[in-house]
Amino acid sequence: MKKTMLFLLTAVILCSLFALFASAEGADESIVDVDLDWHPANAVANLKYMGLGMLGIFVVVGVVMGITYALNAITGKKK
Amino acid sequence: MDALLEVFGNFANIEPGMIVMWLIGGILIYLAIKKDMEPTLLLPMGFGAILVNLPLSGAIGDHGPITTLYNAGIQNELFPLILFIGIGAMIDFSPLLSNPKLMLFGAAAQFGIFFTLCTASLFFADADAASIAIIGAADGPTSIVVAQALGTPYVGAIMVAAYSYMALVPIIQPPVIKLLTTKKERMIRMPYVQREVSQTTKILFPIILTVIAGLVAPDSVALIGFLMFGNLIRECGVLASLSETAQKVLANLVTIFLGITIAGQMHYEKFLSPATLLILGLGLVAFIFDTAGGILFAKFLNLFLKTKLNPMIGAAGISAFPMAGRVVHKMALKEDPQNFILMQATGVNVSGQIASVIAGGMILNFFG
Repeated sequence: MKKTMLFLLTAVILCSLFALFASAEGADESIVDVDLDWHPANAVANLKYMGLGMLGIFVVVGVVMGITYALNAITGKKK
Repeated sequence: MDALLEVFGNFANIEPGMIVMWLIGGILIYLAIKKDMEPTLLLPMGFGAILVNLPLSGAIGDHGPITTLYNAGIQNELFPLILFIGIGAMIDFSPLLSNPKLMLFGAAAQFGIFFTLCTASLFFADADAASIAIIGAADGPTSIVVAQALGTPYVGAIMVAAYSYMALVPIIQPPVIKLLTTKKERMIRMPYVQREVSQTTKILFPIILTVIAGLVAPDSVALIGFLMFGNLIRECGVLASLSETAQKVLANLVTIFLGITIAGQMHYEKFLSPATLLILGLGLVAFIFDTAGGILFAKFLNLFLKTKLNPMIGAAGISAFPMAGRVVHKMALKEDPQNFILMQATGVNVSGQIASVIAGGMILNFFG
């Protein structure tokens, strides 16, 4: 339990840090010359896709699961 | 003297970056042979990295065979899709079909993909970030198809990261599992009840899954369709020779071409950059958070269940088949020599294969 709380706390701190950077001025300056830029706003915007993506996967898997249960019930050997 | 210059003149074209890539190629070959880490891909990639980084190499360029193979099978995503037929023919979905709720853990274990999407988009444009995030699918063909479809220039680094970390699953996962679970949780037993799955279910499953996934994420039709086609060949019962060909000859043939051709993206000018190091780091983040996502989902479910699940099976939802399932099974045995969760872990591992392909389709839908 303690380890899980520590992990979650670390994740919260990291998320807070990058949300802080996202709102900071000058956050768009490059940190590396070679084809990399700092895009904190993009990272926050993509949280939407995290939610949609996970939801989409669970919806598809949920439907497939339900159909599989139905198939097993219909095609399984009768007792 | 002139004759010597003519014969050995190409030595003057050696750049330091080429030598570094020879070493990297050598390391990949060493890992493949000595450490038995995904040798089917790492050895051709390692050798290919040496081939393309020789000065004025005839293997690349407009008429080079690696370039020709790349245009013929990687740029149009054909090779990984054909490989998926072979992979589908190898997979036995019975452990999953006999206990369908295990599919939920495969879904949860794709969390690392989307977490890495957000993290990678701190540094990269959205399409590149999405291509890097799909390393978390822990599935070579899915990673190649998505990276190519999104047009990222980082295909080489993404493939090296994907296949290397797939081979490193036995090293990456255990510390994450131990961090997120207690000894008591790791010792939870899950008795396996063998339920027979009818042949009709085994035949209808790939068809139904393709239709549903294809309707939700049309861009995933090629990925899921070819995987399920291979599985249908296996399960139909009337195409034994095709199934055997798909599993062995086809899969091996395409793997040879895939490995050496991907190396065409490992030219030192493209590969040796801060972006590559960052991609390797982000790939590790993807695998770690995949593992964490599966475990935390199992722990969340345990809050509501009377018969507790061993949360380690969540970690098996990563698509590295069969490695992830075996890692979880070994860890369970280590805690309790009488705790056999191999069948449940295998079922979750197989569901991860399906979920990773669906995730790939989602990513293509969002950013394609």
